[in-house]
Amino acid sequence: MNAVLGVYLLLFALLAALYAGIASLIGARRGRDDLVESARNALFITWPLLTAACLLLITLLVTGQYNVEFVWSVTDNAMPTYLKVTALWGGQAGSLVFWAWLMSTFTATAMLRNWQRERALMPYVISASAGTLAFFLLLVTFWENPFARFWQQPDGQVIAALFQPTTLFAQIGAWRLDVAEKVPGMLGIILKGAIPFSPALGSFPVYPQNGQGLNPLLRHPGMIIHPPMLYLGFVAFVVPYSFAMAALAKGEISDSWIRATRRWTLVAWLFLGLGLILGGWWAYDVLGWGGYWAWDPVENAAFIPWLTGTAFLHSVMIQEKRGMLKRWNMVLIILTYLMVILGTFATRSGFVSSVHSFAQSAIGPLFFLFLAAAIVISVWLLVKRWDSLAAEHQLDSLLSRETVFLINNFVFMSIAVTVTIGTYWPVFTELLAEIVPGVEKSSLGPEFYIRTTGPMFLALLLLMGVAPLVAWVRASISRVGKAMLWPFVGTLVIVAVMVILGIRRVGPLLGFGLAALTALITLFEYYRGAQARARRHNISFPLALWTLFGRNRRRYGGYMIHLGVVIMAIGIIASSAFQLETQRAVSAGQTITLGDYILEYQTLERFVATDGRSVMRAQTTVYHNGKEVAQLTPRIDNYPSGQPMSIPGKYSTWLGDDFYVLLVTWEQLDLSSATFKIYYNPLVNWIWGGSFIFIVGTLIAAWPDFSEERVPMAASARRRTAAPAAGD
Amino acid sequence: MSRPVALAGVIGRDTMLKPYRLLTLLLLAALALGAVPAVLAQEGGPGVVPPAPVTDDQVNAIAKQLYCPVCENVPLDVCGTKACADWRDEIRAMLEDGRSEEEIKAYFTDRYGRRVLATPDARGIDVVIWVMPVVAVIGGAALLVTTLRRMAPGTLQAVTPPDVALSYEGLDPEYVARFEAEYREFTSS
Repeated sequence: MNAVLGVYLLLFALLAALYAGIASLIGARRGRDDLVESARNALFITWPLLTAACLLLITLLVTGQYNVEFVWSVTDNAMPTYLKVTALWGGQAGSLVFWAWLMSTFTATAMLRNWQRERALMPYVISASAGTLAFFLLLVTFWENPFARFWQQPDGQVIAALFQPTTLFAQIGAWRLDVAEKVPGMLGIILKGAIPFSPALGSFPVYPQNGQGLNPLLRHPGMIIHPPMLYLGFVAFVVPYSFAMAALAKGEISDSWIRATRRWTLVAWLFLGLGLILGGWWAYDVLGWGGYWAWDPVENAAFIPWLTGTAFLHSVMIQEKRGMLKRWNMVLIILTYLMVILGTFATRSGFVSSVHSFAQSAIGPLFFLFLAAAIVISVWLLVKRWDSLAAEHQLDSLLSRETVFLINNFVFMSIAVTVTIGTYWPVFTELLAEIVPGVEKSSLGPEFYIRTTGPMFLALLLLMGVAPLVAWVRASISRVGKAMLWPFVGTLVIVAVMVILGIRRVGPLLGFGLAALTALITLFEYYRGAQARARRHNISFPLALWTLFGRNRRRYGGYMIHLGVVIMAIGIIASSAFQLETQRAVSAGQTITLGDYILEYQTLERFVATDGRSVMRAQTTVYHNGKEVAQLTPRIDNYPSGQPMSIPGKYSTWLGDDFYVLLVTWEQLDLSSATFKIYYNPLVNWIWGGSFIFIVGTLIAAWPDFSEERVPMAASARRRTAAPAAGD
Repeated sequence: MSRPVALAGVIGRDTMLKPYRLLTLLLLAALALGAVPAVLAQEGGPGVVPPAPVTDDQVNAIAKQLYCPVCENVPLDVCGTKACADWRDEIRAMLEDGRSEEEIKAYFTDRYGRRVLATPDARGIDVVIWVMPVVAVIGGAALLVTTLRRMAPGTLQAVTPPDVALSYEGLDPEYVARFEAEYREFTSS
């Protein structure tokens, strides 16, 4: 049996990860290198095992082995092959296996790259990453195994189980349920929730002819790439966390853990950001409500680690350059890791929408226990090494990059705390409602987040502009003022033009003004840098601008990230502050007016597409100032399984505005009239454009400098010391 | 107003069964539709201002602020389920009765609990959610100030004289080199 092979692969990977975790700990404590090396090899072994497991699962999916429960639940005969492959992460069990594979890939790579250089940290790096991996493998082996198959038991019941029926397994199963009944609380739920090893004796396998198919909402390119990106981001954060834990456990609190993981953190951060953006794009394209971010708890759960991770990326620079904030950086990376685990736990168990889902599957209690263990271990290590994490330097001046970065951290943490409280507020009140009489469950929509975090995001916009001008150690007000003068004048001109054009609301004006200021300062910085370089080396300005990136990739890549964020911010402010919206029922030939645009409704047609969905499609024409600009066909797709999907018709202007039409409903009997909902989203496409710049900037900042990395540490440090003199 | 609707039903069913009757029915429908304006004209005679019909936008403006208890985190104005469509019809009916936005929201809150409100007002336990961000910001600011104070002894009490000749003693050489390079670049422009 093919599927059984998968069970064994997962089981061996789990054993290898457990062995790696334990052997590395013992090896580190007793100073036994052979044990540490054997632990490393065990961790390496998980990679081919999990690769094979993923490939096997993909094979099962593509060949339609509906005997396997997971295959049955996420694919059907009508699905195209590429969707069958990506259905790997279309359901819980497959996602977790894919997640484990990514984690194994990342930890193995991190170890290969750093084995020689960070030899002292390695034993504990293995323990931390193997421990995390083992937890996920435990989950996919015994609770969420994608290789479980359907069996019909003698009593007629169909269940999913891992192995063929044997007397031993049947006995273990009976014993397990027996104990589960007697053990109360979480442990009972965990025991009860495990997948049976085997069905009752005398059962026979069931082979369904077709599967349930993938949730139609997930059949979108954005949703196909979104989960892997998010997982990559989550998983990559495990690497810096493992190094941080190793530094704490080893008591070797140099900055080497930060140097070793700098790029990992950037990569993790990039993927997490990419995942969030893709999720927004998907929501905008498929969910049909005219927006891209709903402050939904599931979205927030992935956003929180991004916020703490961004704070970490900035504050880590203070430690690198000045040896300060060592404790705070530890706190931030631990917090980011915990938020990754909490986010996965809350969304995977459904806990984020209701406390009741917590107890409905074993996933919730298991994650809860793991989270508790991670908190205890992290905090214990941190407290143990607290004193050795003292700062090496003092702050020389209150006007310095260090201070500005601290303020940046303060704002990011304020946002993170607010979003965290908001995200878990409905669950918290639901829990409270059961204990305290008179308390009711509350919901928390976007309004709360906009009102509370809005000003904080504006503060970030300002910081993003000013911070790069403030020098390390000690900055002078006159220099910062000089660098800000022209950008500030430019900003005043831009704001004045906006006022003349008719924008009178203070909030958006402030937002646009800050965005303009930051953009101008950043562009001015590029200009000044390139100008100085052109003069010094006697080269042309464009060439100087080009080589500027090569000289200090991290800085100028970072500026580019800032520019991307500013452009996104403009899109976000414009599309949320000036969105227009209307809804009306019209019959053929009638029109709806929204702003300068007119939508004319022509016909409605109903047909069945090749993949089995029945489609209701409206034919409409959009006019702008009396001129036809687009033909749009908003439609509603009805898949045999699942909810109807509303696909908008979109027309984008040259400026990046979207005219976004949804078909809401229609006259059921004669299709004589249809109701449309129209949104006008100003500058919404700037969000996607800005995110592209953001990604390019991150890649520039994170791009590995191979020539530098190959040189041993000491030589590299010497070389870097000499570089300014030689290069400039 | 119910006549054209009922008639439309008849047309729909019959055209499917017996297409040749279409013409007759269309004629009938045309007659009926023609009669409607006449009826309306009679009802809304001179001097009587007919109430403005409730628009979808008015319904959505209220629905936007509500969540139904079943659909998690989907605002009522965009929710596609049958139950939510029924709720929107209820809102429309209440608006037609001349009820205010507050009354309609209170109606749903009384029947289904506070959780139907997308943005809870600062009442009862929900005071906490509005106070918490403020507390977080103030607490964070306090922490920031104490941190700065601890990290920079002296700077907050007295202004230190500008120390132009920086001492490099005890500093990481790598850091010094980097600082010098940055400083040179900064001053050269």
